[in-house]
Amino acid sequence: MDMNEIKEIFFQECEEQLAELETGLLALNDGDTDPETVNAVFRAVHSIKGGAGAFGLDDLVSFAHVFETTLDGVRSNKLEASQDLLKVMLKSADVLADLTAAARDGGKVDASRSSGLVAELHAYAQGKPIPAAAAPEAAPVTKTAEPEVSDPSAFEPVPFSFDDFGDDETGDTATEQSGRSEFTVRFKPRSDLYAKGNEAVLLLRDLSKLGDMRVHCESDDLPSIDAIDPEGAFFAWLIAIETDQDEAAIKSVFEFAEWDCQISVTAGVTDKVFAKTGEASDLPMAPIPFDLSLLDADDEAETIPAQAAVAEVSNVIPIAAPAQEAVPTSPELPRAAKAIAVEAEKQAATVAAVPAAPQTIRVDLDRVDRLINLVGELVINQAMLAQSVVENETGRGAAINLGLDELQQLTREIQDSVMAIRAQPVKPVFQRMSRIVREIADMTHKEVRLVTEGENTEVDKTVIDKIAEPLTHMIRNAVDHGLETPEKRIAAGKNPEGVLRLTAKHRSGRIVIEIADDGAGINRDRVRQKAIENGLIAADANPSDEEIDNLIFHPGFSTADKVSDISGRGVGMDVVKRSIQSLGGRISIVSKPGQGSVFTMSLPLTLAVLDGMVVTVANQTLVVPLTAIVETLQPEKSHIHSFGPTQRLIAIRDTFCPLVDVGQILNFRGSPADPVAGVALLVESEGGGQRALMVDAIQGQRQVVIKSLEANYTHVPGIAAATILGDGRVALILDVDAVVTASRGHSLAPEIAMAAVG
Amino acid sequence: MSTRSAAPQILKLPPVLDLNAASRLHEQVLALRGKDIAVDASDVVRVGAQCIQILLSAARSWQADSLAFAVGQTSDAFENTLQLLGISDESLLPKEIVK
Repeated sequence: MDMNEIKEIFFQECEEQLAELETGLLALNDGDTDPETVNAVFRAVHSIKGGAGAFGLDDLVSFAHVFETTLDGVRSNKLEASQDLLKVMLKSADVLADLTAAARDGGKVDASRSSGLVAELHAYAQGKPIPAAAAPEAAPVTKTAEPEVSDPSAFEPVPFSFDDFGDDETGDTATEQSGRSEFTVRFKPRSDLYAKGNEAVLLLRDLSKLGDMRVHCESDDLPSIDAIDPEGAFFAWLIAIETDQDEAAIKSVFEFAEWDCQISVTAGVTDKVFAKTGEASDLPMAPIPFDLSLLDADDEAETIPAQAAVAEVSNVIPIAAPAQEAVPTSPELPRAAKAIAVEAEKQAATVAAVPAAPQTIRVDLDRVDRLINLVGELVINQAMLAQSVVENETGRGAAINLGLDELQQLTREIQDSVMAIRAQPVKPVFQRMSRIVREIADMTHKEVRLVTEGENTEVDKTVIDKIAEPLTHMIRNAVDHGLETPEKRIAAGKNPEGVLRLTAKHRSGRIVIEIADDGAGINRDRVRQKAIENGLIAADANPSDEEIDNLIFHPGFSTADKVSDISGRGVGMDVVKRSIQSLGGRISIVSKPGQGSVFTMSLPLTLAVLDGMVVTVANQTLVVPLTAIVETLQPEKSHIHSFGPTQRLIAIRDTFCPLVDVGQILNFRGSPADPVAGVALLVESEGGGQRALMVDAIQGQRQVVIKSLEANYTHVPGIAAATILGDGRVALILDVDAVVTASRGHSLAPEIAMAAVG
Repeated sequence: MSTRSAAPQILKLPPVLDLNAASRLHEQVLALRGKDIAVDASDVVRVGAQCIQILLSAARSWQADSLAFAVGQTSDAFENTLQLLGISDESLLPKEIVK
């Protein structure tokens, strides 16, 4: 594996991390306060930084570093995850994505954008942008410190000047006169830590290099020798360290072990274990000078007289560290200590609750495709075998039939499983949308909240790749045209923040994606007027609401008064519609004036197999996609009516429906077929109306493997693709929409030219 | 409850007591269950937290059975690691040998 391959894997992982990052940030934005969410976000940025460092991607590293620092502030509860901060962070996530893309594909990211964000992030990390953020940090410190100092049971009163508290980083740490600070470190490794080759001894040794430390080992959890797992992790450590370095330096010791242990670093030393050292204590303490020279030859031996360590303890100004811990109503030391313990337990609980991610492997898509292809062949072969057995049936084949049935079940199962390999959640696409919404909302000065549902709905990867573009277009349209400006929304009595709802769900073997906005809805008067101006409909036409709504899918239609950067250039919804149709999907719109519009896309779950109805037309076998068929019926003579010179209608219940002679349109035969001799398939066509397709006979319903005609032959007008039937013959899959359009008097060819472009 | 043998069994610790040695150490200790043990840690140059866990657990279990579990000779590395880990349990430190 050469460097480029490793790099490629890194970028793939980056993509996943960025997705994770965005999910986490959005969850936080929605008020999620789970510390694990913050952790996940932090982890994502941290991993990107780490990988980028390995590849020398300096831009990425430096930006990720600033981002990480700010996130760390949030993670350690120093910073409040306010809406403003999250906005900055979401933007930073976008820039991080851009930087990653730039690192992969070359190119540059607008430096002003990232430097602006760096400055903002930095300001947040320092606690500067909001004056309120700095104040509460300092205030509780004084509150908690005072009663503690005067608490004789634990400490001698020590004269202490509060002037030492500044606004800077060291302000919230206990500053000794010498400029050294004390920290309490809680460290509990999980067995993973050891399993990954980390060693608690080495971590503690590294920590001891930072300054003078006193270690207390909590070994209460240690099982008896019969019950102990030799490779388990039962020790936990409580460490008081006095150092001239800051909290970050302490954390950096545990940087690589971070995810395999519980670690908390708090300023000051408040724990009973250390506080009582001055008195005769039965608690085990080891304020012993460390001679590390034997553990590490090049280690400078730091020898501190034990007395000094003890003396130092009595001088400690205990500061209950994190601001939110120091509830003004619990000023006593033991309570503060308890609060820390409770917090630590809480962290332990959440860490334990995180489920292990399922294991995955990366497989080249080509390999999966090859497998799918082979399984397709297997299905065909199985069908052929079954057919030939049926043809040669002599009455003795009961065992063969049984075996064939089992084979059929197996192949079906294999096929489903193989298809499932390609299936992926629509999540990444949806996540891309949230960024698009943010950017367009910024550009149009609208307030938009994107709500996504059903991100985990799975669909074939090809479909996912192909829906991104039409979806982007529709989202842009929804924000640009659908939602109103905040002023207009307020005037209409709505929340100034518009809601865009993006939903995915499975419906009868298809995936349905809905884009709903709560905007003004389609302005039908204007749409109608524009359509008349553009000559799309006659001036005296009186289209139904539904027909007007569907006009927006018409090529070259735009109601935007002026062309904006975002949308409204006349290549809009018609392109969307065509690309969705080329995927075998449908799109529809429901709009209520003043309440918004809902666009609904329905797409096949996979482009590799299709449920179809096998029919015969003029001795040719055709497959009609089942999803297009509404119902089938046997026409009666009395129901057929002539309409004009060539058209015929069929009466179905109370309505008339144009009859489409498939054989004639595909040039299978020259003369019109006799409707009564055949079968009519009622299909839904793109305009929303129904058509009756006339075929000679129905052979049956079958799942067929789609073989591309374009790849193997060339595009054929009116035919979507081909398949191989059980008897080994090639059957063509009908392109229903193309045939219906052709029946309207257009010839097949130009429509096809357009479809090919789409 | 013990059927004390005259001399304690000697458990000689190998020089390296890292993660890989933990399982083996556990087996060795279990094999000596019910007997007095004198641990010889004089060869130890490197010891990890997991082996210390086993030794401490053993010391406590032995104590519960009123059997002797004592560390006789130690190396400096062994003692230093115990100090570093903040283990002040007397049973693993040689000065408490007399019991």
